[in-house]
Amino acid sequence: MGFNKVYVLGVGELPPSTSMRELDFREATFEAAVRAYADAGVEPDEVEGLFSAEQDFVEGISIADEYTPDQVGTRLKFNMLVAGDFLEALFHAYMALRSGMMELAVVESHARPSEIENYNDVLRSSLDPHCLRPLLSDPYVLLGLDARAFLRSSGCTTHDLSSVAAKNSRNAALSGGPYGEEVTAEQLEEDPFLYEPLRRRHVARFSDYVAVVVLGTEKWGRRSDRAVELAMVWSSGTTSAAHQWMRSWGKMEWVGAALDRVRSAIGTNPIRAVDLIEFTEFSAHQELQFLSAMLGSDGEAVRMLRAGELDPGSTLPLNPSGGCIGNGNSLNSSGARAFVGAVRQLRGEAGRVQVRGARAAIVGSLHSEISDSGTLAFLRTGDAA
Amino acid sequence: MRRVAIVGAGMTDFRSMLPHSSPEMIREAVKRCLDDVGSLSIRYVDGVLCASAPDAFDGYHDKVSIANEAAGAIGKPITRVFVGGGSGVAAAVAGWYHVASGLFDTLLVVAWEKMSPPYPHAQKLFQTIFEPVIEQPLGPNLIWIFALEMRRYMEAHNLTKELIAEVAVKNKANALDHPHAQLGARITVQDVLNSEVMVWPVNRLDISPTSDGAVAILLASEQEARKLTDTPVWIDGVATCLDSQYWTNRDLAFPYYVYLAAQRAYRMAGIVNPLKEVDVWEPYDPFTYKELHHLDGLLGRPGLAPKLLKEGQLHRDGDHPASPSGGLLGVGNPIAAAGLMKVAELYWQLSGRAGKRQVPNAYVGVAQAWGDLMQVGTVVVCRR
Repeated sequence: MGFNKVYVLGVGELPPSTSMRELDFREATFEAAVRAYADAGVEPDEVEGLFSAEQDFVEGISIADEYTPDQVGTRLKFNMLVAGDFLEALFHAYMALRSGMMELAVVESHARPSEIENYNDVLRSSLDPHCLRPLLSDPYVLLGLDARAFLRSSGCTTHDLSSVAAKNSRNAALSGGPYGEEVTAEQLEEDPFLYEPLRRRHVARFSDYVAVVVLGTEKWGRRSDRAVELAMVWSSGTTSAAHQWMRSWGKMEWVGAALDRVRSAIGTNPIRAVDLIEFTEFSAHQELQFLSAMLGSDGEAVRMLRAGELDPGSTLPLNPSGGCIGNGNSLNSSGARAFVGAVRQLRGEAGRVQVRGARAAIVGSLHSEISDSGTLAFLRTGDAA
Repeated sequence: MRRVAIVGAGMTDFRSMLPHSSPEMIREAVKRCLDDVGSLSIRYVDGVLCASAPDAFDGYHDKVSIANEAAGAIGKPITRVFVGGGSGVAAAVAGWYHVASGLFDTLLVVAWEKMSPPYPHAQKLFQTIFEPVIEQPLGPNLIWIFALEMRRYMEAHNLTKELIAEVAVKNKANALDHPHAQLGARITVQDVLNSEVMVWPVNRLDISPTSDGAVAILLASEQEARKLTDTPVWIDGVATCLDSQYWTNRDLAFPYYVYLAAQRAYRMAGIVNPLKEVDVWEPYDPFTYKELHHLDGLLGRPGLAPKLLKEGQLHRDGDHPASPSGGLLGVGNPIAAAGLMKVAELYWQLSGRAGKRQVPNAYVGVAQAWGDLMQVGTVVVCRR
C-alpha cells in the first residue's frame, strides 16, 4: 500500500522580534500567510486544510483555532488545532497528507510572549497542582535541576554551556536574531546564575513570532524546483507526567524513539545524512542533551562542541540560525522558527548563516521548555531526496 | 487509502460533580476500552491521541500532561487536539489519519472533560472563547447566542417550541437505556415548556447538562483489526470544516460548515444519498434545536429534520433514528468526551453491542460534533 510523499512548498514568517505589538495577532498571521502563499506559488483557495499549534493560556483565548481560518484563508476548510509546539501540528499535517486525505495543507503557529504578563505562572500551571505548584514559584527551576543532572552524567561543565550560548548568540548576530551578539564563552561565564548551573544568557529570552508553512503531496511537489521533501516527522512520548516523579532527569529519551522512526523512513542513520541541525534549545544544556541523544554519546557531543565542530562551516552545524538563545523563546512557535530556518538552508536562502551545500537537515523541538518530550522532522532536497 | 477500524470502546459514567479527578476518569475509560478488546495490554498500543476542550476547565496549562500517565502513554507518542465542542469527533478524525498514514497500527483515542471545577458553573469560562475586543466586553454567554440561533432556525422553518421540545423528550427517554447516562428520564413536551426560561426561546430542558466524563476508543489498521476482533467497525469517511470567526455575519438558519464536512466525509465513504444509506445518526445535540439543525446539515436539506421528527422517524424505532444513545441531552455533555461518546455509540450500534439501545439492521452510521464559536463541524462515517 503506497503512502504519499510530503513536500514543503513554501514558508512565510514574521521574523522573531522582542515585540510585535504594532500588529494584532490576526494581522500578523495574515501577513505570514500571504508570504507563505507567495513563496509556495499557490492560492489560498487551493488549500484543503489547516493545522494550527496553539495553547489556550498562552493565547489568553480559549479554543484559539476559531481565529485562524479568516487570517489564513482557510474558511470552510478542514481544520485541526494541536495543543503543542508547531512541529506537533506539522506531525498531524504530515500524517493527513501521507494518508491521502488531502493534497495541500497549511500549518500555522503564532506566539506573542511580549503580551503575556505572567508567563511563569502560565507554565507553572502545567504542573501537578498538589505536589509541584506549591513548591515551585518559578517552574524554570526544573530547567536548572535538569541541567544539573545532565552535567553530572555527561561530564560537561558550565563553561560548555557558555560555549553553546556564545555560539548561538554569534550565529544569531549573523542571522538577524533579536538576541544575537558577538560574545565569547568567557564573557558569558561572568553572567550570574539564574537557575544554577544555568547562567542568565544560558536561558532563552522571549520573542514574538508567527509562521505559516505550506505542505503538499508529490502532485504539488513536482511543480516546484524549490520544494523540500519532508521525509519523516515523529513526535515522541514523555517519561513523566505532570508530577514529574518518573522523569529521566538529564536525558532526552524521546529522541531515541524518534530517531528510530526517521532511520527506518530514510534507510540510513539520519545523523550521518544531515548537513545541519536546528533545535529549540530553551536553555544551553538542552542543545547538548539533544545532540548527545542523537549521537548516543554524551562524550562525543561535548567533544564536538569543544572542537568547534558544531559551528557554521564545520562538521555538523547545530543551530546555525542562532537557536532559541539567539532568536528568542517563541513558546509554541519555537519549532516553527527552527523549521523555517532549516527550509531556507536547504533552499540555499539562509543568507549569512548559509551552510554550504546543505541538502538534508534535522529539526527538533521540545513540547515545551520544561518538557521531556519532543518532535523530530527530517528534511531533504536535491539528490538527497 | 489504508482502512481504519474501531475495535473497542469504553467510557465512564457522565455525571455532574463526578467524584473522580481527570486522570482517574481517563484511566477508567481506557481500562474499559482495553477490556472491551479482550483485556488488551496497553503495551500493544502504538500511541495515544487525546482531546479535551478549554484548558481552563481543568485549571491546567497544556493539559496533555494530565493524560500522559493516566492513558498509559508514558514513552509513547501522545498529542492533544481540540476544536471546542467539536473535539470528540475531531479526535476520531485525527486518530483516523494517524492509522491511515501507516505510521501507527493501533492508536488509543481518549477524550475527557471535567466541567465541575469551575464552580458554580462553567459559563464564566466560556466567555473566554469570544472575540476579545468586540465581543468579550459585552459579557456574552453561550445561551444568548444559541437563543439567537434557535430563534432564527424557528423563523426560517416556521417551527414551534412544542415540536423542538420533542427532541428532549426523545433523547432523555433513549438515555434511560444507557448505563452511563446522567439525565435519562421520561418527560413530556409540557415539562420542557414549563421548565425555566433561560434566554427565550431556550428553556432549561432544552439544554444539555454540564458534566464530567471520559471516553476511549481503540483504532487499528485492517491487519490489526482482524486479529483483535470479529466485529470491527470501519471509519470510512472523516472530515472537519471550520467557518469564519465572525458568526454574526452568517445566516444562522443552516450550519453550512456541517453540511460541507458531511459532504466531504460522504464522498470519502462513497455515500451518495445519506437519507437512504445511513441507518443510525448521532448528531450533536447540546440543545434540542441543535439536533435538528445539525441533521439538516448532515442531510443537506434545510428544514427536513423537523419534518422527520414530526413523523416520528427520528425515534429509535423510526426509519432514521437520531441519538439512540440519548445524546448530550440525555447521556450528558462533558464537551470533548460527549463527541467521542457519539463515535463510541456508532461502534456499539454497528457491532451489535448496543443492548437495549440497539437499532435493528444498523450497517452505516454518522456521528457529528460542533463547536468553537458555532463554526466548526466534525463528522465521521462508520460502517459495519
